[in-house]
Amino acid sequence: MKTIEKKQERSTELASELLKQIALVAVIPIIIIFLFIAGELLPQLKQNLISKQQSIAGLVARQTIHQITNAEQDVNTLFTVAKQFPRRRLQDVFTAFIQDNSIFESIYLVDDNGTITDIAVRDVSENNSNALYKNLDISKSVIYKNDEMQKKSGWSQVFLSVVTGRLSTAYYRPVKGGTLIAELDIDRLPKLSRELGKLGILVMILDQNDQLIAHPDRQLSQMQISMRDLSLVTEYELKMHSQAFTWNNSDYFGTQAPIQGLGWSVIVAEDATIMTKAIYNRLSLWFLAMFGLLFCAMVFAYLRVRRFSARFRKLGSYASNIAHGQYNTEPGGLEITEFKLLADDLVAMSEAIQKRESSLQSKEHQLRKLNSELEERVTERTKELQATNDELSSTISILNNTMGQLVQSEKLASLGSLVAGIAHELNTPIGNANIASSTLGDFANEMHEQLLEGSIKKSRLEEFLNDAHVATGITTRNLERAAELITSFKQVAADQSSAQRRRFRLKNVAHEILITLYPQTKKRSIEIRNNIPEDIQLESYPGPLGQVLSNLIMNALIHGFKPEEEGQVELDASVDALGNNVVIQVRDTGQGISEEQLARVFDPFFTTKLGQGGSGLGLHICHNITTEVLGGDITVASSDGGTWFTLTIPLMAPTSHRIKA
Amino acid sequence: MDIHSKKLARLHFLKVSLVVMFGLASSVILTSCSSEEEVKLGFVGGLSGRVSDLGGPARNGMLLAVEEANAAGGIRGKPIKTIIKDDRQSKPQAVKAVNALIGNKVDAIIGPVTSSIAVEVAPIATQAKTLMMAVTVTTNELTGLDDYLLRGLAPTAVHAGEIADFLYGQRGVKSFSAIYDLKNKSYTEGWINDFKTRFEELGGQSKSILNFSSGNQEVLVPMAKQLLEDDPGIVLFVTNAVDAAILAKLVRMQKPKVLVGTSEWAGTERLIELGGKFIEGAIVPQYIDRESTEENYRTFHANFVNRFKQEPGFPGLISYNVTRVVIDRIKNKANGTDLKEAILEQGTFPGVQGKVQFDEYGDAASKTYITEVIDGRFVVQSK
Repeated sequence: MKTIEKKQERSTELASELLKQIALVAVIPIIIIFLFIAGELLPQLKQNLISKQQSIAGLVARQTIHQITNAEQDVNTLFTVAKQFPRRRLQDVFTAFIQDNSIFESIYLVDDNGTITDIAVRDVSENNSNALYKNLDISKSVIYKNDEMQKKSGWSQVFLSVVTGRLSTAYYRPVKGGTLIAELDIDRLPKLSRELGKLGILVMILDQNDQLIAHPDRQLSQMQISMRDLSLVTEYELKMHSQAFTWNNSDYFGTQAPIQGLGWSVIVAEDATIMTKAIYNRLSLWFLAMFGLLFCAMVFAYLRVRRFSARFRKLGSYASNIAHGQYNTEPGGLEITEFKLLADDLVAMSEAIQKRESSLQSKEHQLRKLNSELEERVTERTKELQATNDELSSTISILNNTMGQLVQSEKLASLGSLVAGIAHELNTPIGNANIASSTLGDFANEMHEQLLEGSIKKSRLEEFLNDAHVATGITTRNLERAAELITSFKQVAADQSSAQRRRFRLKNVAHEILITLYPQTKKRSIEIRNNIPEDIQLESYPGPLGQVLSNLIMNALIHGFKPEEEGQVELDASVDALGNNVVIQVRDTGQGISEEQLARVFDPFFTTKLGQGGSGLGLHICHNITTEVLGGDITVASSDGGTWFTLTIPLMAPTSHRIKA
Repeated sequence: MDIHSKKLARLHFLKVSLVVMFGLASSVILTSCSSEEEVKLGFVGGLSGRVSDLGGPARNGMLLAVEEANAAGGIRGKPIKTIIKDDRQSKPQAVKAVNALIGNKVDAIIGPVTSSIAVEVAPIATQAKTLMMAVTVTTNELTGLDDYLLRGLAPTAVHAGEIADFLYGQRGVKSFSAIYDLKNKSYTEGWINDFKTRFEELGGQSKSILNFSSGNQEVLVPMAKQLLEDDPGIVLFVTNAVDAAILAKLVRMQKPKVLVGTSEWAGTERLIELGGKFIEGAIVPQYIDRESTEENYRTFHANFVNRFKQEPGFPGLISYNVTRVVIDRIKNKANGTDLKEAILEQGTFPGVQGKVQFDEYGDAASKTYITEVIDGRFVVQSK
């Protein structure tokens, strides 16, 4: 459980991962759109702002001109009316004009010297206005420009009215004998400015000296504020232009436009943050929508992700069920094709697992069965093998016995042939002796008869004696020969049959062997040389050694040479450098042994003369005797020029050994 | 396990949502807050109505000084801000304006321009320890007070005495009648009293001394008659320029040759504009020499006219002077030093016309230039 938890800590939850991805996907376009809008909207908004301000400025300018024109019209009408009255009634006309809802605060006539001759002031009685203002000399006033005023009508610069104490502008019109001047409180002018001020749009009107004469805040309009320090105003060249400026510690973006005919200008300005605000206003809605959208997307995503992860969990628990071997559950309510496919796959997997499991089970069962069978079989086989082994063992022992018997019989056979040879050898001298003695007997009988007859003659006797002498001679020699034969035979037979250990001269043993072999060798044209030195003496087993030598010699005769072939077999021996061993060589000049046969010559039952009397045991016996009895070893080498066996045996044979032969 | 992971998912949802929303929000809201220390100068004065001939140029004089200082790099690299308030020559309005300025943490207030307002707001400034540099305030009521109100002009006592000397001594005027404006009583009453005291000391006679409240010009018609009743050697108008011009006309319509005079208050351009021929020959004391050919003054004058399309008059010049004093001390005083103390410690500053010198109570010494209106100009008669 703990490890699972750890794993979960390290890995990311599907829910958070998906939410992150969705958020990323949602945020990137939002940011891109935001940047796009910021890049696109700003200049556009600025342009919109300028256009808006310009149209407002135009509107205000037109409205102002309209008001001014109306006012001018009023004065012109008054002028026309006044002409129809006598001069003394002028005061009345003025009073009526001011009282009659005129836009003007006061109206007066100034003579050519700049002195007020007739005047009417709003809200001031005729008497008082006459007393106060009549005869005032305004020739030094900023509004009084005699030359100009006598030529044409127009509007004065803004000034502080002496009668109202308020900032005013005056319309002047030349009349006969002076100038008609009507003062207009500038506060009355730009109502639009105040109306627009309520909307957060700052509309200001400047007079020709760039003094502020209209501002949404009426108080400011009266404060004679010079606007010449505004960058907007500094760069104003009597045509509409827009730019940012700072005024009264606030930043604005504004448009200044001329009011034609008055030399005034109108400034339409908005807080410099207007564009940011406009963007903000536009973007805020947009962002609200985006946030909403994002939120909805996140909520939706969250819900979807929950459902997704529920499905995953369902699938997971199904898989875990499968893992725990509960195949009977079913993943349902997945709705989505991929999930269904996955579920189907899981079901298929589960089925496959089930199938595989059952087949595995049956296989396992089979296997188990096979296993037990195998075990049985193995036991059986082991038993069989044991039996076979026993059989083999017994066979081997039988074989060994048989081999022993064979060896024995071989030995006997050789002994037999030896005996046969000896018997045959003995046959001749004994036969000769027999003939000689029987012949002598015949001669003796003949002599005896002649003696009896007396016909014996001396010559005859002498002849008889001579014959007797020859006959005994023959008999003696033949018997000696027989005796010699028997002695040798006796020695060989005794040696070979008893395997006695004794001290002997090697040359003598070889000689005796050659004698015993004589019957077999004499018929052959093979010369057998005994080159063994006289002085080599061994304390060993002459019988077995003789048997080895006779076998090797007979092998050479039988296998080395063809029947009529001439050749040599040579025996040789030497004591090795240490004086421990004697090395005996039996060499022939025969046809040699082929290479593959050479490796097997010491194997038992190996023969090239199978069925021709060869038992295949001869060299095996030689090897056995050499290694087992004599304690040495035997090697063979061969070439086209013949074969030679080399026996290396200790001069002093080992004492403990088993005599097999 | 399941509950745990659900909680985790919910938490993730919240976290991710929050991070995304916050990132978006912070990318939108570009906050720009600059709470760095900046120097703010307030202005309070009558900017509209009949006394705006003092307040307007005074405000403009202050603006010119500030604009020049800002053009020269401001204070510690930051431009000086100005906050302008109109007191409309009304005491409640002035109190409101001064409180607003103090609330705005201005470093100093230039203004007010009339004595009655100054008397009203000086305690407020003193309590707030905000330096108030009055421009054309000459009331004796504030003389010798160790308050936070300093002023660029000497008290009326000095000036009124000088004009009395001139009239009695040089023009041989033996009697006077006068009218003064109760709207600026602190100044006008003081001025009248100082003048009367000195004039009588010299042996002169005072005839009718009337008063009125500016704004209701109609009352002036009968008063003008009264002023002439005892045939005074001179009729003095201790009023603003507009009223003085009307009074001059009213008086001279009755008695064209009568000598008229005004206090310094009326000595603005407006007096000539509105007075016309009726103010010709009037004796008008001035705080400045308008005809000065000094380089300093001409430069200042040219700059001022160019900038505001109006004459600076004495309010413009004095305001310019005292504003420069205030800026100089704000810029150069040691950190933590009180501005008022810094100004009084220095005491003497360069001004456009002569030096600006403060006494221990913060009243500047000032000259009186007595002028006569000749051909629509103030021509200096005595320096």
